[in-house]
Amino acid sequence: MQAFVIIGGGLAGHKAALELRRLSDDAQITLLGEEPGLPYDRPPLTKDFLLGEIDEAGLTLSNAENYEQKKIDFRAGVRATRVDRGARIVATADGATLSYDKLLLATGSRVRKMPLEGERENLHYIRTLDDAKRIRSALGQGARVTVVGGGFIGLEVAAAARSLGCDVTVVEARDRLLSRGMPRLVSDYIEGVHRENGVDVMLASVPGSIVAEGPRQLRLNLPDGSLVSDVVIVGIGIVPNTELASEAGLEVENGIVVDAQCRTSDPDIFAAGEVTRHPSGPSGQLRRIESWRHAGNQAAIAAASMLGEDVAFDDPPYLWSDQYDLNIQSLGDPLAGTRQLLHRAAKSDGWTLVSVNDAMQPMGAVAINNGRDISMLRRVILKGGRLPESFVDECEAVRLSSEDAVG
Amino acid sequence: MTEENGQWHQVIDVNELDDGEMIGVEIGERRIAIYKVDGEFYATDNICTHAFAILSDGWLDGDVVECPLHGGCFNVCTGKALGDPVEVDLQTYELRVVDGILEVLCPKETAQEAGKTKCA
Ligand SMILES: Cc1cc2nc3c(=O)[nH]c(=O)nc-3n(C[C@H](O)[C@H](O)[C@H](O)COP(=O)(O)OP(=O)(O)OC[C@H]3O[C@@H](n4cnc5c(N)ncnc54)[C@H](O)[C@@H]3O)c2cc1C
Ligand code: FES
Repeated sequence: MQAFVIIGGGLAGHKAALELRRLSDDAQITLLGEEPGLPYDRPPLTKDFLLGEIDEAGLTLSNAENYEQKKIDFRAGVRATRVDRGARIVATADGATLSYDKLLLATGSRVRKMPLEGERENLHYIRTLDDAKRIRSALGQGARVTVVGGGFIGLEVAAAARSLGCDVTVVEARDRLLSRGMPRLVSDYIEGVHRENGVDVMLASVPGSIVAEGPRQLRLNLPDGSLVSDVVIVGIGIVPNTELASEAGLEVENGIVVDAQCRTSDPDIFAAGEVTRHPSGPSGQLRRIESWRHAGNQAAIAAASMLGEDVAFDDPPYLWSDQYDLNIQSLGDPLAGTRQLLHRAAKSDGWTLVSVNDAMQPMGAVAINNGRDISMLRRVILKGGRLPESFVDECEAVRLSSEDAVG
Repeated sequence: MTEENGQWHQVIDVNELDDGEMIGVEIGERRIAIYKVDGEFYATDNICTHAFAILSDGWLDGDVVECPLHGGCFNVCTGKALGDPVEVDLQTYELRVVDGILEVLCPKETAQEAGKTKCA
């Protein structure tokens, strides 16, 4: 009987544990999660949960309540502190040592913090359920909210705060929203939607220091002026939790480096989810991808691989974001390719921006309320095929912004 | 559901749907998706069990419908959720063809509330 230890009780760790059990009746499975409680779903934290449309119980990942029955030894609130590769043991903060035959690192990410001294009660980040609970109680009707960071997380928070009747300003350091990974056309469109919904968008505003303004408020200093608000929520990116791996001497480079079989530089140690940097796309270029679907699917591959199955993870990058009544989906690399085509939905106001190479192979796409195109394009990308002619005929060419061409 | 507690509703002309296509219909409050797979018709609820999305706006690939919002998949013949992020199966409905018109069997309570059938 083989002993499997999984570090990290997020989506990836949870999925890997379930998949190990599905594939093997007698695997001995231990899942360590630093956070309290059962593994839960993060995407709703900036969406339905902030809006009060689902409660805490509704966030628990499916089947997490069945760990006992599935003989998965889940330990909540237990942090792994060290991996000893020679002795093949994991040490935990509560003083236990666990032996492993195969180890999975699924430690995910943490938020990147603003360079700022001390904690401030009304300055928030959003990654965990506890973060989201605190933010939820701070977002009262009429509250003045400043969101620092115009990426997906910041914009979802802005949309939720607007829907809750807050007065919202988004401060973004770059000259457009969603500057990381999204084509300019998409950035401009999303900016328009936020403005229409009453969000004040401040671009090219590098946030400076945050200081207390009276007992209850915060002042955010900006290059030309400052903003006083009741609540500041920062979403300026995440950092992969790679410390355990690097301390154990595994190859780490902005993520734990793994191959398509999710193996690290130690053949008995695997990694999956947001903490990994793995081969992606036809070029096999190493990428770290922040996506729900990726974390789950890669973890399932890791589990099979740990059991010696011949599998490979080759999903094209994919993520979704829901803001107001917009559903945004990004597939592949929307900034790759030499041309962009705009495909409008026949029956709705949805549209898709597809980037193609000279051979008319789709490299990536962003769809706004047009998921049907993503389903089709995923299949084409997986096969390395070309866009169907009928689809191309329905498209408009768009002028490629110089910025996108560089990406 | 049986004929005792359900009621048949005419939905579409059988020629309206080609193989590999789907269409959404409404029966009263109920939204139903009709699919044609390998010459056979199938019907399920048209609302995804994950969040609110209309499945007939998604993608039909063989006997699998993919949700347009977050890519959840269901088998349209059985209603079975095929995993991530969907967990709950779709309700399926019985169908029959009478004089070239496809009919779907719906529970009676909806039938009473039901006004007329319309295509979405
Ligand atoms: C607010 C929010 C909204 C999101 N929305 C979307 C969305 O709409 N669409 C989308 O595609 N993606 C979204 N994502 C991204 C998606 O949720 C993540 O990609 C996914 O959760 C990654 O899963 P993971 O298991 O790899 O990492 P994580 O979810 O970070 O889980 C890792 C877990 O490991 C634990 N851990 C770390 N170190 C240790 C240790 N030493 N010992 C024990 N435990 C440890 C951590 O506490 C954590 O619980 C969102 C993320 C957030 C935060
Ligand atoms: S609403 Fe269908 S997968 Fe989310």
